[in-house]
Amino acid sequence: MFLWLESTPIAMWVGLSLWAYPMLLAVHIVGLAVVVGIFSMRDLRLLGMFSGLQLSAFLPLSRLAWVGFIINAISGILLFTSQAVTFVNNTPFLIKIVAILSGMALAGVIQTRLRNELALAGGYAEISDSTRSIAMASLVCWLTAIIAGRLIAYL
Amino acid sequence: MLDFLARVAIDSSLNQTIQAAYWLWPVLEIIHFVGLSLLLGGLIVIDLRMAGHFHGLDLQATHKLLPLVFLGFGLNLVTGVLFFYGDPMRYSINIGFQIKMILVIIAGLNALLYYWKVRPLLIGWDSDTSLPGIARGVAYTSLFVWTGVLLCGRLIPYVGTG
Repeated sequence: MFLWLESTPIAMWVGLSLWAYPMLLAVHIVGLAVVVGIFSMRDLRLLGMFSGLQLSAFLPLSRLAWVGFIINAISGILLFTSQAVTFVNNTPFLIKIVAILSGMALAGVIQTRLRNELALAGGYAEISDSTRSIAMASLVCWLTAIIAGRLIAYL
Repeated sequence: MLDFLARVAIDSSLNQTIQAAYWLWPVLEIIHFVGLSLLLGGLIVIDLRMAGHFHGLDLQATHKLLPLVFLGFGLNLVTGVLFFYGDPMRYSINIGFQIKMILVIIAGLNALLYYWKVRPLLIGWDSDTSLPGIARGVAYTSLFVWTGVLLCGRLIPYVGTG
């Protein structure tokens, strides 16, 4: 199946065009900065840094992170098609995908919890310990995604 | 100037050290990626608020993210200098790297403009009134230039000499 994917016209274009692969990589790193940047700010805020910054602000900001995620899902899938067989047999790649999916799932959980906890307390909610733990787990996910992603090129 | 710096770097023992430690390069790259996420992540919040978006955010409070932005910049300055020392002849003549450095300098000048001209305007600014044009200009310049830095940086392995 992955061999077939590599032979599709779109994969051929990504692999053979002089500019497609580098341009997709360049877009991918901007998306990375948006997603990891916003989510790590949110997680650090939940863990107690920069108190004073309204937690409610991270609800609309998370939408921007989702835009970054969609950009990276598209650029990532395109990059993947050109070397699908290599990627599915690459352990760091598989770890990266698991880390990203976990990070996005946790983002959904945090979003829901934030909305509920803010609705109860109006703006300056006490963050529950369990929400803090989830924020910590989220940070670990994004750090893992970056580390594993970079190691794809080396292992 | 890059020529001169490259000649200094190529003769240094640091150059030998970096090239000898095969594991060091990916570690530096990982730190560089974490650094850019902190840098741009913080700036997205600060600059978009300063440009007039996300009104729910307290403008002054967003500036509490600045230490994290500086941390990201610091991490990337140190790892970036080490990259240059490790492979000076590759970077100094690379058009992607050259444009990236020019953009970093523009971003630095833009930050100074913020520090001297915009910050005094923001002290005690009422959240409901719209921000002066210069604040929006500095904010968008920051976002565009740093995005350009990321794009150029990622293209370094793929572009030629300048």
